[in-house]
Amino acid sequence: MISLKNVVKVYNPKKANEFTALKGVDAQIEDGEMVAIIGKSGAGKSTLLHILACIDSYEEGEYYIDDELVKKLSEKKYAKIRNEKIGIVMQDFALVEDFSAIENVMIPLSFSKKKISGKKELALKALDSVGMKEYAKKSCNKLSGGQKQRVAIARAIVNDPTMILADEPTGALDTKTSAEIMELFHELNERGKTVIIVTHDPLVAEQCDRVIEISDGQIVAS
Amino acid sequence: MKYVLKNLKQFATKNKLVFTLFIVCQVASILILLLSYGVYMTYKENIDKEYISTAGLHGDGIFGDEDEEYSEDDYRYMMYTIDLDTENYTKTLGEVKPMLYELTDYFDSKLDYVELVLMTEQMNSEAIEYYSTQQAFPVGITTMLAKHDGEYTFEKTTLLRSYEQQELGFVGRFFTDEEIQNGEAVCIANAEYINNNAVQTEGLSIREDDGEYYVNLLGNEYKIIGQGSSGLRSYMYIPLINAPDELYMYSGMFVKFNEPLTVEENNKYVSIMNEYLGDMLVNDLDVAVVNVDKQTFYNTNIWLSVIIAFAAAINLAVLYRYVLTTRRKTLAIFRLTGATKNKIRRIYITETLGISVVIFVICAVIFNFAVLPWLTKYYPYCAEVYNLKIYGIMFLIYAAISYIVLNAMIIAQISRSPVELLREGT
Amino acid sequence: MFTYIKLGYLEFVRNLKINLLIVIEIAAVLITAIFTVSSVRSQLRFYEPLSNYLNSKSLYIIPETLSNRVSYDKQLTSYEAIFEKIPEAESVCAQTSFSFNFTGNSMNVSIRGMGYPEEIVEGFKPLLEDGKWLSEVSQEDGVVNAVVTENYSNLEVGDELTAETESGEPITVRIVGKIKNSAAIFKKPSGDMSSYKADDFFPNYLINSDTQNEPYIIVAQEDIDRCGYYYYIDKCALIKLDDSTSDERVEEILSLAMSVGSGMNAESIGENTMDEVKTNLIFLLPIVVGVLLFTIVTTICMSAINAKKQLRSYGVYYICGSRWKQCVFISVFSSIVTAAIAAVLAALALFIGDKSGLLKNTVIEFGSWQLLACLAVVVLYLITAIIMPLAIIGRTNPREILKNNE
Repeated sequence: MISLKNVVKVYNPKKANEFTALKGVDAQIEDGEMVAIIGKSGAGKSTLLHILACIDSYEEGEYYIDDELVKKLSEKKYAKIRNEKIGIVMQDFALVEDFSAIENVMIPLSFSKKKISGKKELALKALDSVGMKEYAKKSCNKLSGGQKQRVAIARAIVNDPTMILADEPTGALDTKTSAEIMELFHELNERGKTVIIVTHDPLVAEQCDRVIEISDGQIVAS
Repeated sequence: MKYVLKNLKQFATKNKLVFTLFIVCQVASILILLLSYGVYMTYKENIDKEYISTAGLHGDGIFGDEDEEYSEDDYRYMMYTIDLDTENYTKTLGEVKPMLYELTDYFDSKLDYVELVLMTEQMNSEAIEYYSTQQAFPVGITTMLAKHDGEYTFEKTTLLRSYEQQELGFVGRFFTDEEIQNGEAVCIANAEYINNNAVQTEGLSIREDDGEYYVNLLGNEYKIIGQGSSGLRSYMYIPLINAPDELYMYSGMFVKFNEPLTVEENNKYVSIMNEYLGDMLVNDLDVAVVNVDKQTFYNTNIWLSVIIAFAAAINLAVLYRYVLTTRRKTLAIFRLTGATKNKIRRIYITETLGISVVIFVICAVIFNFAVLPWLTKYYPYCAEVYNLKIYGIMFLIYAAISYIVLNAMIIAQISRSPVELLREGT
Repeated sequence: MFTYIKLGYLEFVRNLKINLLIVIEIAAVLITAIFTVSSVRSQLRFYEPLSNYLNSKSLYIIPETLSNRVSYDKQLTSYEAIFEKIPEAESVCAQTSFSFNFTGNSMNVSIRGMGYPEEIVEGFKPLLEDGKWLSEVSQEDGVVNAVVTENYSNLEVGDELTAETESGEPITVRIVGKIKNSAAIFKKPSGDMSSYKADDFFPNYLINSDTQNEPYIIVAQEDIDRCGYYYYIDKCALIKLDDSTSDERVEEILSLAMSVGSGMNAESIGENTMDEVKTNLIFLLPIVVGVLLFTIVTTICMSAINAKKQLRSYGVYYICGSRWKQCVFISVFSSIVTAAIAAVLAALALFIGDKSGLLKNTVIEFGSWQLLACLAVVVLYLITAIIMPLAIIGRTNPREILKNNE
């Protein structure tokens, strides 16, 4: 379970351009939920996602993952959480363009603290689950947008995390491809993974179990 | 290690131009660093040695005259004759012994020997005149001191060497190092003196015992181990260690170096001599003054070598920084997928430093076998400057500075959030 | 074109951190060029003031004075005498000796007056402990500028001695400079004449080895003439003859010179000098080669890095209406900004080095040759700033750049 209690995020604190992106956000997301976070541009949805993904810090409040407080942890602990508990999918795919699909998918396996055998097989399995097994050896800079996003999803799930966080995963894709990607997320959710998608697209939000609406740094609907 | 090699392979294949530049610039920078060290040391050495004297030359001294070539057997090479005013001033051997030890300790192997001519208080002036007219000069008792490789010894002058080789009527043998170091009472004597009792005086006498001759000098008895005839300048030669302190300095002394002195060494020599002999010195000793015209030229090239090395370092820093900026996105992705900052830092350090270290070793080999022979034609001193130890030290300094600079750059990059890095691109 | 200039400047600012490193790098290369050229030129320091004499029909004479065998009317111990007796003489470079008519308290001052011809005053500057050289000070009426050697007489820069001209007019002898001990001064050479070279005309003056213990006070020959003082050429005169002078006539003149002293054809001095200069310059070869190669590699590298960094921007400019290959102008203008700031930084560094005394004991100077070297470096950098982006742009197309979001 993910729990947020009065989380505040301030950019550039004590400077002339100080900006409070999140103004005391409270939320709770149960295991296995598929949640959409919607809001206008600049509302704070990506900021919220980045905090959930442990790639950004927050100033006040508390953030729990499975009853473990995620606040001012060591960098090592954050890395461990990102590697084992969270899979992240970004809008611009965040792939190493010159690596092949399978090489990209194997990255989290390489950084895992656990001893993993058969990394290649696991990566192929992940690619297979997103329908990209035949493109395993293809260089990512030769894939289409949709294919890249699939590879990104495969990378996000290869370590079998409990939570998938996606920041505008269909933002750069056409309608048909978007639908295919959303289908994948559904499949992952059906497998028991918590899926949290940040989106400004109401069609994407509709497909989720719950919608958290964020406006001006605060949750206005949940 | 896997990502180190992957990144390297990627760097070499996908970014050929930058990779080539990276290699070429590193090679150029490292060769320049090695060259600048040689230039620096050569010109620094030149400054130390390049000087002119203030008082001109005295006696046979050759001072800083690098154009002259002297044979090693030429006893006049770097020989200084120091005239002493022994008519108006007296100094005993005991008073100047510390000076001799100070000189030999300071200069060690660079000083061939220091030679003194001594007299007893009672030496017969008629005898002195007799021997002066016989051209056996300077009359007196000669003692010498030298220190080579940390051991005190009695330096063999060419003259005595020839006597030892049985030329010019020399019989017997020369001193051994053990006799000198142990202070054994032995001497080499002038046979004419021995055979001519005209110079028997109080304090200096000779006796024979069963074919062996002994000299009694101020109550100390010395066994004569070798005899020479005309050409030996003194009555007797005795090692300093065993020479009686009551002997007086007479007429002059000789100091022989086997290399030109640096400014510092020369002025040290002058200060030691002035300290002990003072007014007894007939002429001012040569104080070394740096040739300022040459010094400014050498200083310029020393500065040049430093600035080139600095430019080479900046060159490498620019390259490293650029290479890192091209890795921003990869770096961000590694962080997103759970790599710790330390792990990322190690990947990039290993990759960049790995290439740099390999290139350094290759460049050092090229420099030593291809560049150095050419460089030595212009700067012969460079042949002495470079050795395995120096290459090792330069390698360590290079690796250490690269490590520090790289770490600083990488830490600056990975301190930022992965999202920022992703957004920035290159 | 103005757009490209503006974009070039903006690109410089956009990548400020790395560009500042490049600025420092280029500044270091410029300083290296100045040091190298100064070092090379210092080898010509003694040759240049005498080059006019050593490269043409010239004689070196040692005219005797007060000699029993040479009557006054035959002596060649003044400029007038030389020009009178040797009509072919075009110019004379001689070190002269004279005495000041000191007055008042200055009469106690014991010095030896030395006159330098214009070639030496303008073309040679001895290393100074303090103050300025004669050519660096302007003339004033009633004042004779003088430079003194290191001395025990406590003569310092700023001291003024009272004297009068030969005709009784009061003058002030102002010491404007003091030469360092062991520095080279223009003076008669010693040693074997057959091996004379330009260096020998500039022996080192050492205060302790000067048995007379009186310092030299050096003034311009024209000041001696202005004061009307008697002077004589002190055994050191180079005479340049008209180029049309025949060899026979040169021999005649030489015989004349030898009848009143001694002399030789200056040709051998010129040859010996050139041999020495070549040897000295060759000695600098490793440094020059190293600096040159390093400069080329550095400028290529910096230009390439700049171009690579700006490639994505070029893609954006392209889609906004620029032509692909014209984007190279952005790189050029960005490099011009870099080079300009680097030049200012280099000048500032040298200025600070000079004022702080760090460069005091070096041969660094900034003249036309050094400026030329700096311009060469800048031109090389700008040429590579054109070539490298063209090479890089030529091998890619904008579509690929924009597609690649690395």
